[in-house]
Amino acid sequence: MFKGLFLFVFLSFLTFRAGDVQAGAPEQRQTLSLLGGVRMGASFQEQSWNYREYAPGFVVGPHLAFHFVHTRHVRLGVDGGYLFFARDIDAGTDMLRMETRYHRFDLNAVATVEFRAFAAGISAGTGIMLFSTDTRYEEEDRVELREHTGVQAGFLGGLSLGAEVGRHWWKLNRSVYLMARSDWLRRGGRDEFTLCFLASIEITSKKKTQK
Amino acid sequence: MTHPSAIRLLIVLLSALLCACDGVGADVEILTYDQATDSYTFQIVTVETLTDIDRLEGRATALIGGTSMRLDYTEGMVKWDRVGRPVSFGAMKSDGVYYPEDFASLAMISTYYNIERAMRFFAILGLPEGDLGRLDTYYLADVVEIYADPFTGQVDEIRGRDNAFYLAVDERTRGFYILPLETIEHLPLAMNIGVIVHEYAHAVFQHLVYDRMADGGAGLNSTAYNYIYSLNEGVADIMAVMHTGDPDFMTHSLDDSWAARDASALILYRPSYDTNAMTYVDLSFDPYEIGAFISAAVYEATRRMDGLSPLEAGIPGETLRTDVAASVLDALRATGGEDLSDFTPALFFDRLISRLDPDRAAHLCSVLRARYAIHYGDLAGCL
Repeated sequence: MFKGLFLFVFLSFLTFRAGDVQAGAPEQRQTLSLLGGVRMGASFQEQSWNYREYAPGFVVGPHLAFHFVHTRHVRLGVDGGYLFFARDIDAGTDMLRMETRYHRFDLNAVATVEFRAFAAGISAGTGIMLFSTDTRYEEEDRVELREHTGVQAGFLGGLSLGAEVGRHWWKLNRSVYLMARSDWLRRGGRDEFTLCFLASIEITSKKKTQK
Repeated sequence: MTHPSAIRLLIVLLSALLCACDGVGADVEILTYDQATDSYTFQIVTVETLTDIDRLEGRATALIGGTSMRLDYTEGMVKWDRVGRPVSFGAMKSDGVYYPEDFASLAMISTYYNIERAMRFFAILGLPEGDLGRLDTYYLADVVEIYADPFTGQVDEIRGRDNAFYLAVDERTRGFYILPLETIEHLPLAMNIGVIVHEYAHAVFQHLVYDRMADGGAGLNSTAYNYIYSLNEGVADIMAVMHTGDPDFMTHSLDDSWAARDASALILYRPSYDTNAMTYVDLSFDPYEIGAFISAAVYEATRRMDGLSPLEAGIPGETLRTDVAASVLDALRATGGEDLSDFTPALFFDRLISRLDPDRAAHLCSVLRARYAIHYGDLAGCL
């Protein structure tokens, strides 16, 4: 359960060290940036009764990224996000129903490469899944209800591709990024793939300029 | 390697070790039968024989998902479109207890637990664990049956739904098949412990009877084959009733149309049962008539062994039920070792009577005198 969390911490150490090196390099212009926005898309969760079939579901949630290394072509930082989705697949019979709601919190170390308006990134970290299940069983006049919540953490890896459309194309004074992002969550022996579209606004502040 | 790097690597390795330490067995909350209230309730149970909880594999069975197959009765063949793969159990763990994350996971862990209980039950009766070999469970299998109408010859296909069965055409197909739900509105069959013990009893019957025949029973005349088929169903019902203490275990899952299988019902053996066994062949024969009679007779005899009168409601005690079930298993073992070319249910009853102590045998004979009158004279042990 803790593997993903430790991996996130480990990768964060590495990126912080990389940030230190970048900050000390000559001819290096560096800024801090904060991106916030929303993402929505589809999640494909491995079916428990057949682990090569995936159940699709709509997901939506906010995300926030902090880039503490921001050079002309490279960004390094951390990214956090939340996704919600509910699942009601093969949920039982009339007398036995089960519904599950998922709240996913992502913590990633991210590295992004930019060329002109285009950006491509990779991320790795941990996904923390909060479950909430409601089960109802009715037999004759008796009804049994069960509600459970639980937490499970797993490894999270992702790829993203997109463009800065605000400043480059629309001449805004704020950067607006549109990205497509796919990620893979491995938890409890099960896989889950998510394909999202992100719309983010970036706030940038100059941190350091060396000549 | 510097110290900080070594420490980070150590942290990653330790975290990997933490992830890999799931042991054998697990406590799980499932919906399971409570005999005291004759109902299913949520209980935390210990599943003891699991070796891989993520894939629901263990000594009792291994669950397989995504199976697709065709049972072609016209050609006597099994065609696999897709064998399937291990399932992926989803659960959250809290205070050492696993809580299924979705309905399929709840159903699958219930299936595993019920099969484990069936295996343990038969071990108590005298069938060592492992004697049946590996038995996979195909969960939500897509099974299409192709058959020819016995009267018109027209070939038809039926996609199996709302059923659970044991199949053993060959070593590869041997296992339990849980079919998708379509019309069942009550407790799914896989969660019904009575249904699973019933199916497990078929695997035991296969081991003790069919597998000991020269050609698996294929060379038998159709009448003997039909009687043995009926005994198979009857013994499976007996074992389910004796294990659960619920003579109408089907009622939690199926509607009243299955009331004919209620072991507490008064079922008399009718001459038409013999006529049907002698007339019909293969799939056109209904084995449940004689099967329900056998299980109802043994259940009523067990009630009387426990001092309950025919008109008195009540369920025989667990120890007695287990004793009688052990005698049934022993009788089955004896029956399977004999020449069954002229088999009738009377042969099985005789073997059972000889394995009960005289007082208990007298109760069974008393029931059979009333319910099996047309063949009572064939029961050497009662005369």
